[in-house]
Amino acid sequence: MNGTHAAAELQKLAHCLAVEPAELGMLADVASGDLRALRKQIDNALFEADKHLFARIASLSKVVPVAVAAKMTEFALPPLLAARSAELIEPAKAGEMVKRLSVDYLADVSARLDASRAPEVIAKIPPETVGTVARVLARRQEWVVIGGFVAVVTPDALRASVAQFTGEQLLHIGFVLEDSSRMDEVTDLLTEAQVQEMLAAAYDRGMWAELDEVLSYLGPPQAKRIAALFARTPDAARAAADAALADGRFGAASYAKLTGSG
Amino acid sequence: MTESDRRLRDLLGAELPEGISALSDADRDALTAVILDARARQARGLQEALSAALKHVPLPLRGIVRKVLIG
Repeated sequence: MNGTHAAAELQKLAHCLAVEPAELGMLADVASGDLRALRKQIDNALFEADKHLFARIASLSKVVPVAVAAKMTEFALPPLLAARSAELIEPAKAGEMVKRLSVDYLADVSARLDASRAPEVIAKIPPETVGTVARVLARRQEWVVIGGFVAVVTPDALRASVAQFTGEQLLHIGFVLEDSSRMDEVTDLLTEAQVQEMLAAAYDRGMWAELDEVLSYLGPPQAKRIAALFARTPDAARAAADAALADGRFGAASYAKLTGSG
Repeated sequence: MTESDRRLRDLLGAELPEGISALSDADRDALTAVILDARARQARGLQEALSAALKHVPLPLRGIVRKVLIG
């Protein structure tokens, strides 16, 4: 394995292929950038392979009223089919359909949706609905899915979603965040309690790799905020960070940010 | 370019990332098999879903839905 970025990318690739990460052992030494490029290629190939079928489903929304299409969708369409077809539906119509679907079904569909392929559809979903679905997805531990959505949701929807997560859940999500450039924006939305929970998850449950990934993308202002809160944690937390640094579970750059010594 | 390289490139319809080209033929063939398996599972799932969907469409709409889905 060549680092936490690559480990996170392997998780995302496994999700894309619907296999366990262990089945991708042949990629253990491939750099994260190449894994990311490979994932995009595979996702595209899987979509293109059956695009004609997805297009047929999507075209249903043109021949029946939205209310009927929504009812039919939830009643008859498995989430995978609905997710892939959603990428081909006119965004305004998809937005209207979403308002008529149950939260559980939306969560099922979201779990199969490649958010990067349907940003216009996702933008039409009300922020409060995104937040509610995010809570359901977190309960189901769909970290890769949530990490993909973070890259494309509106700032209001991001705010509504982040408010739903515990600190430990945020570490899981941060580890596989699709768009690391939003890490500062996400961190800015965190309450003090959520940050404390993140830190506690690292030193109580050994989630140093996840904290390492999150910290590696933080700019100075947010890193300083985290360091200030870490300074108020028990001495045992500092000792745990030292031990994680010493045995390689926590990177030196992230340690410097966490302890304010960088 | 090896046969293994060509097979995966054709499957993905794109030039392979450097790190994938650098894999051994055996590893690249194993990756190709995983992708083909995922594609087959997706195709099976879709055919089953289309058949199931038609069974659940309300009777007055079944004709038009069948026409759109199956042609």
